[in-house]
Amino acid sequence: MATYAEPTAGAAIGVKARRAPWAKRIAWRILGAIFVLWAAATFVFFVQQLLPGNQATLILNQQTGNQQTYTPEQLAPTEAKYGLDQPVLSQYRDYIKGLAHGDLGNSYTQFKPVTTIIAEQVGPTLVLTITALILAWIIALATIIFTSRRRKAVSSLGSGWEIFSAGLPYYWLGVILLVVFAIELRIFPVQGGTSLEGLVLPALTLAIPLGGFIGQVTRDEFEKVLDQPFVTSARARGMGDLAVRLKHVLRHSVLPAITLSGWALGALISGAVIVENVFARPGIGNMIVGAAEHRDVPLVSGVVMLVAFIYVISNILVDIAYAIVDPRLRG
Amino acid sequence: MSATPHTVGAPGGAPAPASAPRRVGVPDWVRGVRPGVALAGLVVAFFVVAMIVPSLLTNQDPYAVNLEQTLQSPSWAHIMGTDQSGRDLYARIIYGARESLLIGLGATALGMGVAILLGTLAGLGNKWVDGIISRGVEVMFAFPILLLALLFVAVFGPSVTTEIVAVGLGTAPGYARMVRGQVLSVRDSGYVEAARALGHPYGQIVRRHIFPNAMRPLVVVMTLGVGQSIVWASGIAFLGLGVPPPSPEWGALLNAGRNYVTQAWWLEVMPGVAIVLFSLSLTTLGRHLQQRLEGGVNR
Amino acid sequence: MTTAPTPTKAGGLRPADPDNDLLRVENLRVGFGEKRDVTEIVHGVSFSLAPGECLAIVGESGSGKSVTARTLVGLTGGKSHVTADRLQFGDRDLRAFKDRDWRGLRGKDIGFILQDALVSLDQLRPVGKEIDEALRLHDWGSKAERHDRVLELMELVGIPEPAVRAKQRPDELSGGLRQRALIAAAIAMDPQLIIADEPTTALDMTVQAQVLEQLQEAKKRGKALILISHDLAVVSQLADTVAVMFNGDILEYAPAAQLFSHPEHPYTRRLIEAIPSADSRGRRLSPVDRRHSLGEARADETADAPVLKAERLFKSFRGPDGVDRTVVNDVSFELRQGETLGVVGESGSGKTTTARLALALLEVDGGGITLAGEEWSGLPERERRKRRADISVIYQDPLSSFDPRWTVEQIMLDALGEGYDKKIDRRARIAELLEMVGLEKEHLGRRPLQLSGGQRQRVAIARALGPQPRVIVCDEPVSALDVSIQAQVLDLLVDLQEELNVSYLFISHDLGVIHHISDRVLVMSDGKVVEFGDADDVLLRPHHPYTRKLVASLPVLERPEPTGPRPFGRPPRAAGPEYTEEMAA
Repeated sequence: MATYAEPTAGAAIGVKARRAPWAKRIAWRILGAIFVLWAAATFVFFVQQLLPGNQATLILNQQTGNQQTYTPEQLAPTEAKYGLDQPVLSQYRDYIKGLAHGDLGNSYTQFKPVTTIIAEQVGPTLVLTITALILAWIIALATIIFTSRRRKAVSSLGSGWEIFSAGLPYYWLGVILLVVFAIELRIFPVQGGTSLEGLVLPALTLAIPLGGFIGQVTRDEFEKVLDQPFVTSARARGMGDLAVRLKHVLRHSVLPAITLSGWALGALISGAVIVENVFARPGIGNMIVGAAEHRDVPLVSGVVMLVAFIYVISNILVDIAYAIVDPRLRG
Repeated sequence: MSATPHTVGAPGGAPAPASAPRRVGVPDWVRGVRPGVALAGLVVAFFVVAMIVPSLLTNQDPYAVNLEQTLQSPSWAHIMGTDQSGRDLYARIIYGARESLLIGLGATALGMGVAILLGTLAGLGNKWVDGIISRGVEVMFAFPILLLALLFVAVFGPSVTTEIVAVGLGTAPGYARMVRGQVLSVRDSGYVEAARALGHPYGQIVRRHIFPNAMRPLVVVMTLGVGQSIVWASGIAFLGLGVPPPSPEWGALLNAGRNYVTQAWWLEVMPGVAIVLFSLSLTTLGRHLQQRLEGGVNR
Repeated sequence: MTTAPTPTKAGGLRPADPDNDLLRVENLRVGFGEKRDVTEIVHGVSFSLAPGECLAIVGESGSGKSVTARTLVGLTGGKSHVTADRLQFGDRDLRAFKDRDWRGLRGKDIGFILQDALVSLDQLRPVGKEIDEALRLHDWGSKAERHDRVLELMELVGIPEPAVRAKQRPDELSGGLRQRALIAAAIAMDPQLIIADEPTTALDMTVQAQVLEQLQEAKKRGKALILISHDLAVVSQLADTVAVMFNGDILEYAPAAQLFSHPEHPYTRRLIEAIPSADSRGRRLSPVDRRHSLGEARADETADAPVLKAERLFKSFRGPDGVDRTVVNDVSFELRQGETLGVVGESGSGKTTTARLALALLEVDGGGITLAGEEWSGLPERERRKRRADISVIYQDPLSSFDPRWTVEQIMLDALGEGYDKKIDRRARIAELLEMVGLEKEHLGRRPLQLSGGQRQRVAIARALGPQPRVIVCDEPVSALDVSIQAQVLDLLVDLQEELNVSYLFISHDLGVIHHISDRVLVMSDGKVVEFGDADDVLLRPHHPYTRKLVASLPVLERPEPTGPRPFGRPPRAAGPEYTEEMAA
């Protein structure tokens, strides 16, 4: 006997009463997003304040390549230039105000505003990450649709591949692909720059592990959904297996993966740091490593804030996508 | 099992017996182990030995420079070849296991510690506490591990501590969300309510029911997590931002090997194999544990 | 069990009649498993069906009835092995069917209706699309023609405003409308045979009545029906022939009228007698011996003072959309010592929330509750905790009310309450409790997962008895149990009440159960009390229109005479020793 239960809050009698339109919810999301950005900025600022030693000393040493201490008079112009002589709270205020206007400060090592530097380098990275995300989805979906719940051998293979590929480190996979396909087989260029051929291997390096991860999560959902009664109903109407998977099950099972994708874009940029490094591909990834080595705090912070911003935006997009896939959320 | 909530098409029968018939001499936990899992167990054991008593597994000195034997490809003398200073690569990998594993364990412990603290407070607390902590965790999500590491390196300079703290804090929000979810689901469960109905004080309920049941699945997650932490930490070292040379830590080996990819591919590939193998074995073990755990609870 | 040949097994099967048989099944066997490890679930069943006839396959969980039904549409699953001497639909041999053949058959010649429409329809799509799909899969008509047909079908099953409803999703429709939409999708291609698998389980009584009405209509239109159910009463309304299944065998197969008035097989008789209703009041439902108990009765209180009294209770919740819903609206009742108050209502009536208010697991928004004459709901939790021994609870799903890591012994120890400092005292008390509910010492070491549903519920009852309560709140305690186990548990509860003079606040949606066990009845609808009074008064002579509607939708079974007098306490052993083993779970 099935359990007899009180309905959840979602079940309605007759026509559903009007709920708050989802535009209002989006407005709340945006407010939340602004909060997250502000909190992130505060955290970054706080970390910056923890810098051991004197910041102006650090800057001068980096710029001149020396390792010495300076007198206060020698430090004064540097401090004034970077606003380091102000009290902490006004530094903080200026920082936040700057962020709100899109000003990320000035680089310590390059004599340009951070925003300019980033703008010059960000293009190829964005191309790379978005391509990788799309590829990852294709890989994941194809693996699941064709290998889920088939004969034991096939399904274990699919599942095993996902687990394996999800655990592959970018640096290792990248090197393997580079050595095999570029150096040995010469199918792709070793240093592709920003060309289309040069995009393939780096994008694959990012896409394969992410695809494995998305695949794992979705596969679990997929198999759970395949057992649901409404799937049996569809079969009982005469629907074939592939059609059932595509038309009914897929939509239900991608929901967790959509949530993942919001996080994935930020993580992909993070991975791009390594991949651009391995393939010597231009982009902010490459740039930020050098910046970190040279202790260029504003530049690194700037990229971090940019990624936080992208993360927040993609989360809002994910919410919208969610509501499109699952109309129950539209209210 | 008969007389359970009706499941369509389920084969029925008498109530489940207390224990399945056992083969004499074979302990319970061994029976369910597939060959893949056994292999994973061996690999993990191997590296744990490498961590504790490396000299058992190799008689070479990982730091011994031998300029006559530089960049030798794998052979019987050096089963994984030598590097640019003539050091045996296999020995370096074995000795590097200690640092890599310790970094991984340290980062996981840090991440888990933070996560358990935040997740439990959020799960048990009222709406306000939960709201604030959840917002905080969301903010943490906005910092991918690698970028966090780069930020720390820019501010504090490269070091092992930076690696551990960055990986720990970077993985914490994912764990925290999981912990919170577990705590919430246990808190709302039937047996917690039944315990309240019996008149037990809340503190006792948290101690005897909520905490043990919520933390149970985390053991599995930690197993998976250590592997992941090692991968990430090595990534940081790969970029040259971690442990300084001549440490045989795996990430550092990867960093050193990059320059020789065309001449001596083994320098780059072998340490990666070690990392992937170890991480994969941990994942396999973790998933096996998970099935075991769930099998025990939901047989 | 299966070795004992039962006289009516294939005896009821009509000889083959090629002109009249729509469906003929002979010696159907179904096994599950892989390669060498196949377990047979259905052990050679046979039945036949003529057009316009309704066959009901009745049994408890594990009987194989669902599996049998699914063989007719080839949906037994990948790991199944189906064999039969004959499996014939019309002039087609289903044994030789390949995937493509099945797809042509399903939906077009045989329609299949599953249980709960909320999960049997795709929740992400409007119901109109689901019905349309049934047509599209068999290449029926153009898009416009299908659109019209969908509306036609919806009208046929009695859905008002079909154009509007077709665009709504299952969660936007009421329970009754959803079920109708599900039926519409199953009969869209006008199949000759309709199979309904547990079509009324998990549904409100009024919705149940609507579904039965629809099936009745289909039958009138000349369709053949196969009904799978555990509910004999539901089945008796529609069935021409009944097949009773147990453990993969058909034990009795006879025309409905004959089966209900003169059931031959002891199992059938037992099933019929286990049904709780107005007629079964005062007699035992199951043939299991009553256990002799050592419990102490509460004889000290005056029988008239109410042990639990609720006055003008209010409780509202804020929904996710920010709107406040009053779930309990001015509810008052009283419960006397040693009495059972049945609280009945459909989903959304507020009865479960009322129960939780009584247990003080929720705070009241208005009104008050007194327990044993003293303030209860108004107390701060710290004070209340000391008195919680007086009121305990039994849940519908005992499994989720036990800590999954604990053994029965730990659960019992936890429930002992004050005054058991010495280990020897504790042991004695636990043994006493186990004895009271009919469990053995060997159950102590097991975990709830290793017990059957009936055994788990007994542990839950033992736990509830531990602190020696005055009142036990029973929240749908038998709804998830098979009929025969339900009968035993109900008998047990009645026994315990008699010995210990404990009171029950008994929540259920099942009118039959309520009528069987309650002294007084409280009918709730939409958070309000609709009627309150003696059980017979309220349920046999209802005043309020809602109560009338509820009582009217209760399917009543034509009852045979009980076999011999059954004084309370000493039932005769039922024939067939193989059952007592299994049934005393």
